Amino acid sequence: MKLASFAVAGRNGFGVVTDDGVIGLTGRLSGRQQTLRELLEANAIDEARSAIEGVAPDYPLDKVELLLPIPDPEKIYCVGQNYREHILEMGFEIPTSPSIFSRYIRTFVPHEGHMVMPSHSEEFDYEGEMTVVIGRPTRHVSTADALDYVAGYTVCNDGSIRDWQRTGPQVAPGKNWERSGMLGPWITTADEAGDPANMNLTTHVNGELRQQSNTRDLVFPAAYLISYISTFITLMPGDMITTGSPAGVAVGFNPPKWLKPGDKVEVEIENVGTLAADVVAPE
Amino acid sequence: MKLISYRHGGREAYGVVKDGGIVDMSVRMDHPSLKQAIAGLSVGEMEKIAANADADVSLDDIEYMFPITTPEKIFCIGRNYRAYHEVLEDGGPKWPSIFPRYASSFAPHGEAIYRPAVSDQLDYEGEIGVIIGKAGRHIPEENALDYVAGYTIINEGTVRDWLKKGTQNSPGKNFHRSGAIGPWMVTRDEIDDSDALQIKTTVSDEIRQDGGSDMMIFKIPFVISHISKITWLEPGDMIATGSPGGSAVESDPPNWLKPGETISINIEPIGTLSNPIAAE
Repeated sequence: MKLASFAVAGRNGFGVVTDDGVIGLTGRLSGRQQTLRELLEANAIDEARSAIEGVAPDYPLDKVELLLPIPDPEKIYCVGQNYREHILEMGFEIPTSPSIFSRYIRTFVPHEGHMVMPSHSEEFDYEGEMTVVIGRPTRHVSTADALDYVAGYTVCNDGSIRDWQRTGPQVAPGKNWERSGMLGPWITTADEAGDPANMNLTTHVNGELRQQSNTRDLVFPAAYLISYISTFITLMPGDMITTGSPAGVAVGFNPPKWLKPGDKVEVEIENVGTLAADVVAPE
Repeated sequence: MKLISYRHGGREAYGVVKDGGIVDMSVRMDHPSLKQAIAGLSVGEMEKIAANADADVSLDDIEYMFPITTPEKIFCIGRNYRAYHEVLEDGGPKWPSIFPRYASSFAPHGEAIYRPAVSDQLDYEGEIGVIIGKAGRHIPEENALDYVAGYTIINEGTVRDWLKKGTQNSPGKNFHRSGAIGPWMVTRDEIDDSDALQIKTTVSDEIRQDGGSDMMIFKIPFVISHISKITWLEPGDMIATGSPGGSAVESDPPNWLKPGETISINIEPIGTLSNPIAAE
């Protein structure tokens, strides 16, 4: 099942994307949840599945504007340098602990949104990533049990401003530019997405293949990251962990293939979805 | 004026601190939270109302909440104080070190800060917290203080051995309730010079930090201007502006916080943020 947040006719809604169109869940759940985060907090994925059985779509997909799948998450954690081949290619050693940083939701645009070229940098890069969406609160969970707490998976471009990543010892300034990344198009529930340690990933820029890998190359796979982060903080429904990016980013080319206004970025995760957005000039 | 968010009688409220009590503004204003009251430019109105009202509830009878209960963003500045008379090499860093921290990594005033089950290295960092009052992007340094609603106290508590497990400090800066924010905010008009504040941290009556904000490397207006290049700053956003020397890691051996101790951070005229330490 594909869970999405969307706007239609000036109103925000949430629901299920099917092959035939979008079924709104507003008013169809016993708890009267108003957002996808509330649906996850109520642990109501199964109820949503029953609620849409035999229901005709309310809207064709092309008549709704997809929003960020969870527009108001409490936390988003990102992981740097997590694809084995990419780390070795860059000449780094395989790390013994993941590198974790955070970014705020407003740094992302939804599917078919417009990323904004940073006003103070030319070094605008893309990072196609597979993203875990947490379904139930968890703290101190083991790697073995971690995936039980996953609602589903989505697709991310952890867009990065490279020179601002290096302004201090922390990368956060280069990872928190307004509308510099992408998230969506929806959350594909765990039962449908398959094994998070075996998902194909590609990134295209203007149709040119730039990144191609599989999450089996992750040094720290999704289950490990959930367990690790839950050592320090309670993961909550709607929280997201974006798992890192493989080789092929702009900075890796000589000269670097920085993003510029007019470019279109497309990230696909097999069985999860394809996320696309373009770049516009700063206001 | 001191503005506070609190819980009383099972209800969340906000108000003005007056005579050891609180004038409840949540029943006198349309705004549902202090964040919205600030965003609605209602600070002056609250001041007028409070001047002609008696306290509704005593500070002894409330549960403290973060002054801004749900900030959209909290940015922290690392290594932002030089020691007295210290001359920084090559003029010091060109840019501040900035990282975000989520609200659930802090406790409100009076509530326990947790020493994690997985580490003994719980440290404290007493800091001035800036609270943004109006939305801004690309804010010029010379106007930056116009965007400040007021100041609070932040214990930017840190789990030292988890700071350097990867290349990024997030794990050591995001342990559940490993820091604190509060007890309230003081409006900007009460602080003439944010470079002349003294941060005093005591742990169970022993003074550990005593540093002046004149030693800040990147001053508050610069930091606001710099962050606003990256992103919109919104009402209620907070900036933890860095900590003077004297953290536990600097003693030999380090005097980490231990369950049973109480940590208090005093910054006048804001007040004192105080929290017991408990084992997780």
